Formats: sequence, structure tokens, C-alpha cells
Amino acid sequence: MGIVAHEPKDVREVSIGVIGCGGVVESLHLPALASISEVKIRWVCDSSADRARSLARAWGVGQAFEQIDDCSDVDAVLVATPVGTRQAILAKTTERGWHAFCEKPFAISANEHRHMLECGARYGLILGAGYMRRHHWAVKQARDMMRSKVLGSLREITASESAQLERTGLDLSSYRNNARASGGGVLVETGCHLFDEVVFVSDAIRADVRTCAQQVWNDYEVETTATGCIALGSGEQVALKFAVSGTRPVFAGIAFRCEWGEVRLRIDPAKGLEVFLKQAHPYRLEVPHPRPGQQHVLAAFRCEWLHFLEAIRTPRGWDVSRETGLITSDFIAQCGEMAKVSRFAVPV
Amino acid sequence: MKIPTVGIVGAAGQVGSALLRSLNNDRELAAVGICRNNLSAARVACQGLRVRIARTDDAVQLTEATRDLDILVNCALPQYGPSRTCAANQRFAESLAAACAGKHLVHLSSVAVYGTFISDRKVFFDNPKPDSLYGRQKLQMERLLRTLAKKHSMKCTILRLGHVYGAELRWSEILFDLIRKDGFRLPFDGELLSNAIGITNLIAGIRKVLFTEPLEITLNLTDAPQTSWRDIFDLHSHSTGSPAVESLNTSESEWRFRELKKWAESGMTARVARETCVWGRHLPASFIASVPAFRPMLQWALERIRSEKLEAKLWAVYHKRFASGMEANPDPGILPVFLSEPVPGPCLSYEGSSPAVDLGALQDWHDAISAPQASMCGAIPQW
Repeated sequence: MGIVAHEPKDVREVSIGVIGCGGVVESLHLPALASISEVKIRWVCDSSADRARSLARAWGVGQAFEQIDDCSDVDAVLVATPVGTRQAILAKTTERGWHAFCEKPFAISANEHRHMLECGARYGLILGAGYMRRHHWAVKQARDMMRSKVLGSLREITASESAQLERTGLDLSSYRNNARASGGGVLVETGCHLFDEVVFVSDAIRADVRTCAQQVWNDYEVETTATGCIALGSGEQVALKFAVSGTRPVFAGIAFRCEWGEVRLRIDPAKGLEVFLKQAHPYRLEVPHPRPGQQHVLAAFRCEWLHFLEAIRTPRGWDVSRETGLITSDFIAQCGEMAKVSRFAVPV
Repeated sequence: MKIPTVGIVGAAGQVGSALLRSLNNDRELAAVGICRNNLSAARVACQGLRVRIARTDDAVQLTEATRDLDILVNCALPQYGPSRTCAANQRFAESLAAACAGKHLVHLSSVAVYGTFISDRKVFFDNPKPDSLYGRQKLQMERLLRTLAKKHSMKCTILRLGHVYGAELRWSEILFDLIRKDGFRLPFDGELLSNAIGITNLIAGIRKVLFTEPLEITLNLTDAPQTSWRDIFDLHSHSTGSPAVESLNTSESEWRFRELKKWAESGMTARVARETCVWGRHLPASFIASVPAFRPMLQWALERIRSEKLEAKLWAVYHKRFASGMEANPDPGILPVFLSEPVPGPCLSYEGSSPAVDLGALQDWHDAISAPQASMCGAIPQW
């Protein structure tokens, strides 16, 4: 049984270059790209030539490079290097006239994000970001429910996630241990996905942070909690509570509290959607995925690539700010500015 | 008198963090966590616990970081792709043995070494036959440490842990999901012994080992006395406020047990033949990667071939076909665990408590991860 997304009708081959050869590229982007018939992966590029060569061999990619300057021209590139290194890379790719799809988050700061969008616009290029959770079935269902207002107006959003980053196998040489390269901590690494889901489902157009607290360990932010509100297109303001923690267990999901009930969206796509109807006795309704076999995260990666490829062919209607998650970058920047930071150190 | 200091390697993991928290409150010993990166260390440090960062696969670094410690408890296991893991285990075991030269190492292994379905005819205590990558890795570590113990004059006590349940533990998460799942029925009404161990009992067991004369021995560690699956499911249902899980009727339980037993007793060749037939019957709608046995068999082969290039190539093919439109591999099912017989061989004797001691912590954890508003308001005072 096939994965749900439909491929674009125009079958012109799109040549792709891959910059950055980390684990996500190997296990998710490359399989997704390789499964799309009209995509041709021309080359892979990584600061480690060995890594690039090994990936190229495994995936039957013709060329492997260590430097972007040596790469041949392509239609589009995947930029999957750590977020702290992307500005310089995007400057080069836009100069070469390549459309670019970046891993999330798009940029390390809101200013950098805007600057990169301006560069892309100057050269008339399509830019996208890998907020793949938007392509989960349950997330789309939740957005449809919010848009239909079947539960009345949105009143409050509570979003939280335990940032259970893959820790096994990482030592101090991993970019995740480098505050600058990784963007500083769990808010950038995991929180951006969570907040992007909030924005996507609610159709928010702006976020305002009122309070924020962050815990920092060895320059690495390990927990962010924030309160504030988001503004909807209709002018309504919706209260927001947000927490992302790498240190303690919290509810992994988003609760959208509406006038007549609540929609709960779990982070795990397999857990589907829960709807709580506010009656004399609250009623819980589970909305399972209609095709459980298609919940694999790879399906979401494939969908986001098809979405991006479609935009390369038909750029009209591509809202680059929304697609690259500018509101999310703004939210992260506001958290950074407002944060009451507590640093902790423990004697060894 | 100086109290002994225990180093917990893998202190940010599920078992390691619970153990460190508990030993930290112990007046008779001191405990410090050993983590290999900042992210893991942060999890430990934010609880006010002592932590050190060291590369655990680097003998010099680990020895330096643990020089002043008297005993090490290893809760870690390197997990990479099958071809890298064997070499990583080797480095890790050598590094642990070097750091524990002349000291006592308590190594936590798993009942996964006996296979997913433990059946009395198949299982041997001294020469177990794991059927999963995880089980084989655990067994490899046991053997490496046993060999290295002599060379480094290290006393190594190996504990094969049962399925560990309790707050913040993966097994409890699985049980919560099963309790919520429509249609899940407990075979034999959960009367079979579980081979499981509550986190409180696990800590009690390890404490007992820490306070007795170091022994070169391998022991199972389960609840003492062994608890049934019904006890464990009821504990979890109770903590979530859900009704008790219904039982699978006896005839179906017996049929499933017989089928599993037949499967467990068949050799690898028979299994391959059977799975290949299943595959053949479904062609061309599916292909080899969708056969449930394919992935474990491939992992098994890759562990032996140890070629990273081949592994990368094979996974590339596998993932490409997968993304092209196949269904996710069907979950092989958890049922074999609930139909297993008691673990073979000697068990650690210690004073265990009833599973109910973990109820409060389970309830708190369940509330924290399942109720957005309530858990967050309680946990984040500034709100």
C-alpha cells in the first residue's frame, strides 16, 4: 500500500544536491528523496570527505564533495548542517541560484531568518524548512478541526514536550554538545518543532511571549518554559503555555482548548488525536489514523519533499515566511530576550 | 571510616538515573553519575546529583574519571547499527575493565539474552540464545567482561535484569499503552510469572550486591517473590484509574502458547523457510523487506560480517523500498513476553517488596505525561 501523498504531475527531473551527511539525512531525507521518481540526487557534500564518500557509495550518488565550491550546479539543495552553520552555506547556495530546503529550524535567530529570506527573494529562489510534523496525518486533522470551529473558538493552547534527544552514541564531539552550532539547546532543537505545530494547527500569524524561564547547564539550554499569546488571522488572541524540557518528563503534545471541548495532539504520530467534548460528563473520543501503516516518520519526510518540489515547479502561492517558520524563529528569539535564566552547576 | 563511592555509568538512562537518585540518599555510600555528553549530564545535574563527563569507550579517560571511585555499576550499552555495535561493545568493555582494575564492577545485563519468548526447552542459563539485536549485544558484553575480568583482576557481578517497570521506564509506558488499547487481552488472565522487576526492587537488589563481598557470578534479578503479569497490569491500571485489563480466553491463550513454543523450537533455517513462503505468497504486493523476520535476520548477519559499507548499502536499499510505498513492518507483537516461562538459573536473593510500593511514583509520572494543564501547572511554579 502506497504512502498517501501524491507526486506532482509534471515529471521533469529535479536535480538535488545534499549538503551535510548526518544521521537524519542518511535515515530519512535520502530514502525519501530516492523514492521520488523524478528526483536525481547529483552529489552529497560534507566537511568529512570520508562520510560524504561512504554515503554516496551507499546511495549510488555519483559524486561526493568536501567543499560546496566544488559542487556542480543543481536545481535545489538540501541544507542539513547544524543550524549555527547555515547562514554562510545559504549565502553560497543562493549565489549559485539553487533553491534550498533547510533542516529545521531555518535559522539561528529571527534576524538571520529574515536576512536569509531576503537573499532568497533577491535571487527569486524557493526556500523551505523541514518542519515535517506538519505532514503528519493527525496534525492536519487537528488543523481542519480548528478551522472548522466545530468545537467553537480557540481559547488556550498548552504545548509541552520532553526533549528526549538521542543521547546514546553522542560524545562531546557531537554538534549537539556545541551550543553555537546546535543553536543553544532544546528550545531550538526540539521546541521549534513543537511551536511550529502550534502555529500550523491554529493558523497563528504572530506570537508574543510574556514570561519565559530557561535552565542552562554548561552553556546548553536544557529547559524553556514560556507563557504568552498567539494572534490569529481573525484578530483573536489565544493564551499560550509552552514548555520544552530535556530534564524531566512532561506531557508530550499540544492541547487546544476551545469553547466546547479540547483537541489533544500527541507528539507521537501513532497516537493520533484525542477530542474531549465538554458536556455534563466529559466525553473522550479517540481519532485513530485510518491507515496505521502509513504513520512512519518517513512518510512525513516524503510528503514535505513532494510539497517543496511542487513549489519549485509552481512557485505561486508559496508563502516563504510561513513555510520556513518565521513566527517560530521570532518566538525563539523572544524567549531568548525575555528569559530569566537559571544556570546550575553540580560539584563533581 | 570512609564510605564507599559508587560510580553509575550511564546515569542518565532509565535505570541509571533511578539508581543514582536512590543511592544519593543513602547514608552508607556516596554515588556519582558518569555520562558521556552534556545532554545526558544535564538530566542528572538538574536533579542536584553529582555527575562527571567522560568518554566511556576511552580507557584512559574513563579510568581518570573514576580513579577515586570504589565500585562501578554499568547501566550503559552502546547502541549503533549492528556492524558498529560489536566493535563499540569491545571498546566499551575494555575501557570498563581498565577502569575497574582491582575493583568491583556490577554489570547490568538483561533477560533479553534468553530470547523474547522464554521457553524451558530452549533456554539455557550458561549458554543462552538471544533472538534480538539487543539480547545479543547484552550477551556479548557479558562475555567480553567475563574474559577481561581475569586480565584486569576485576570482580565482575553480572545481573540479568527482568523487564523493569516503574515511573519513567519504557516498560511502564508500553503497559500504559496496552491498557488503553482496545482489544488487548492478557493471556491466561496474567497468571504466568512475569520475569519483571519493579524499580524499587531493582535498587534493593543492587544495594544488596554493593554491600556484600564482591562475587564473580551471574544472576537473574526479578521481583522477589516473582510477580505475575496480572499483578503488574493491575498496578498500572490502578495508577491510571483505568479498569483492569480483560483476559484472553484459555483456549486461545493455550493455542498461542503452543504456536510460540513451536516457533521457538524451530531452527533458524526453518524460520527462514517459513518467512520466505509468507513473502512469496504476498508477491508482488510486498517484498522481502516487509517480512517480519527480515530485519532481525539482516541485523544478525551484519553483526557477523561487520562491514559498515555493506550495512550502509543494505539500509539504503531497505529504506528506499520502504519509502517507495510499503507498509511499516508489522509489530512482531509483545505477546511472547506475556507467555514466557520463568527465567532459568539462579536469581539474586534479596528482600523484595510488593509492586504496590511503586504505585505513587507511577501515578505522579502518569499524571505528568498524560494531563497537559494539570501536570504543567504543578511542575512549573512560575505559571
